[in-house]
Amino acid sequence: MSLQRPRVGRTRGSVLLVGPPQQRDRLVPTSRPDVIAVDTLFDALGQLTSGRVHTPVHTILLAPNHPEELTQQRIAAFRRLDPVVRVLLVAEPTVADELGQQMLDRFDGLITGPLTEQQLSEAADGADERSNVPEILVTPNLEPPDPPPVNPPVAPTAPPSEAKAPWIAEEAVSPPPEVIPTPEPDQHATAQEQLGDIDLVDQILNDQGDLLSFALRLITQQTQWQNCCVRAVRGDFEGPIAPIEIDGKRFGLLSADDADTAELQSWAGWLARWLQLDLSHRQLSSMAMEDDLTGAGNRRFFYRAMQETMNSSNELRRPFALMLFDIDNFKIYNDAFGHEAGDEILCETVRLLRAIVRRGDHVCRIGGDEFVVIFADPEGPRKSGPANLESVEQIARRFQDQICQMHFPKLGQDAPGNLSVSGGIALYPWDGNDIETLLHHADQRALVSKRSGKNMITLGPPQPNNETS
Amino acid sequence: MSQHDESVRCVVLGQPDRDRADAIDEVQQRTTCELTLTEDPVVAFANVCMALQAQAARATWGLAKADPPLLLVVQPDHWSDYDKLLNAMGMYAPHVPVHLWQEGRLDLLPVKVDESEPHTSPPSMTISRADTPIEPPEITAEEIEMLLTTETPEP
Repeated sequence: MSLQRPRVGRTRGSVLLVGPPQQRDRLVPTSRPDVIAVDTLFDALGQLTSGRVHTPVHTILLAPNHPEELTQQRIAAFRRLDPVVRVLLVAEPTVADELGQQMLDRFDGLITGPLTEQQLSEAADGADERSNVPEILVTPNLEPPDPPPVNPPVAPTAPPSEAKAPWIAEEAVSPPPEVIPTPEPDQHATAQEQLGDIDLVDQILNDQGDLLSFALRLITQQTQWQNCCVRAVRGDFEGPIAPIEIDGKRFGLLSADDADTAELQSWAGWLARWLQLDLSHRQLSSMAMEDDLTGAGNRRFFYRAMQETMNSSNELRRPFALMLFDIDNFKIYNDAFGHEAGDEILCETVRLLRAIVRRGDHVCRIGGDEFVVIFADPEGPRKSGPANLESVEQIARRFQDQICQMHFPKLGQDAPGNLSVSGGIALYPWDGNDIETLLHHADQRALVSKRSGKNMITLGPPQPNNETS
Repeated sequence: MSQHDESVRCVVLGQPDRDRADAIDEVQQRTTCELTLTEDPVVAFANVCMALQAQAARATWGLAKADPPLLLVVQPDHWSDYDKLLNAMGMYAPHVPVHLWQEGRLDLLPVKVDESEPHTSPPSMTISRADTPIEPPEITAEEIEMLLTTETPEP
């Protein structure tokens, strides 16, 4: 049997520790700030409901004096309140041994106390991944837990931590398989162990962001070299090294204690080509999602970001806002001052927006002078949650205010007054549950702004019976 | 009772006996409600929490208005966890009316309401003009840090 329960992924949150103080101190001795200790099941239910815990609770550790008081109904109540919360029972080994199968089935897992700091860390940090659960479980009366996954295979030696190159970009995109280089050393790389090209391709395709360390593992596996790693500089290292060059630029130095120099160079070339491939695909990915002129997200990116934001909003029950706007009289600027001036306005508008919005918000250009901001930042420096409309309004106002004060050299002295924008804000979920409806509402409100004399941003909930599409 | 789109959820903590039936009759004469029956104080509180959660969700998502749930405790003396239940109600569900049925009489416990509780209903329609005086919001340390960051903004 398995103690694991499929879980929806969620962000890091708090651990709720429930039990009488003495029992808690005995079984879960900790002072971690992300562990919220409460005495009773009532408190635990209240905390779970009222949101007095500022971060979402992802794990409940139940440490009762009498486990039998944790009835099926009571545990089910926790799950009904939060379907993705993980409920773990903490008990002393002697107590755990006496618990029956029926009792154990109520929980996502059993931990025998007292918990070590590491066990608690895994409970606190590892709740996102189902695979982390068995590591902290003791199953005295149960069948052995499921065996660990065998795919992808792992190399016998882990790569050294310094091998990670921080200057590698974060995104990746799928390359066409036929362009993957197959350098000479790769022939025995695929022939010997399970680790091979397919694993590297997976790293790139699945955006796992760990191509370099994976490639180093593969090299280590194939060559049996000691301490194979990539160094930024030679430093005190006296062993053989080989430069890794990408587009003629030095990426780093491949080194290994006992490598043959010629073979090391061959592997460095092989590694460079994989890294080049990864980099090219990241650039392609970026180009596919980015507006060439302004660097804002393009329409494709907008739809993807909106879908992700809506999914996240649904999961966390957190509203978000969408602002659509265009630049007032942009056509006049464009016609009177030329396309270069128009381009400058567009670029500066995006630059200004990015300076004003929060880190997790998205700025997109979805038309000629039409922009959208997705206010998706869940924990921005301003208020979060339903109250974050206030901060959205503040950002919008600040943007309006600052764009009026902007100066554009290419407009010269003859520019017709200050630049202004007209826009509308739609709120998810109040204004709609899909992208098109939200866009429609934001567009309608932008129209209200235009008709009311421009230089205005309109926001608010839907007007009854007169704004639906 | 105020107007609402959804009926009120009434969580009843009581043994299945004559007292419970009488208590429910009495409550239903005062308000129309849907009943959730339980014999466990913890489960009763959980049901109140769930009703509150559903109410908050409806309000947040703008689906329908609803009055808060109510809790009916039949023969409070019978329940060893009654005090804990009452404390939890006061702490986590202060808006929820608690009715007590004892000695053949229905009493309503005083409700503690904290007016500083945040409202979850959507904001009202507003229109702002850029050319009206604007109070610039205070820039926080976090915002300054955000503005000074050298990270490349995404798309």
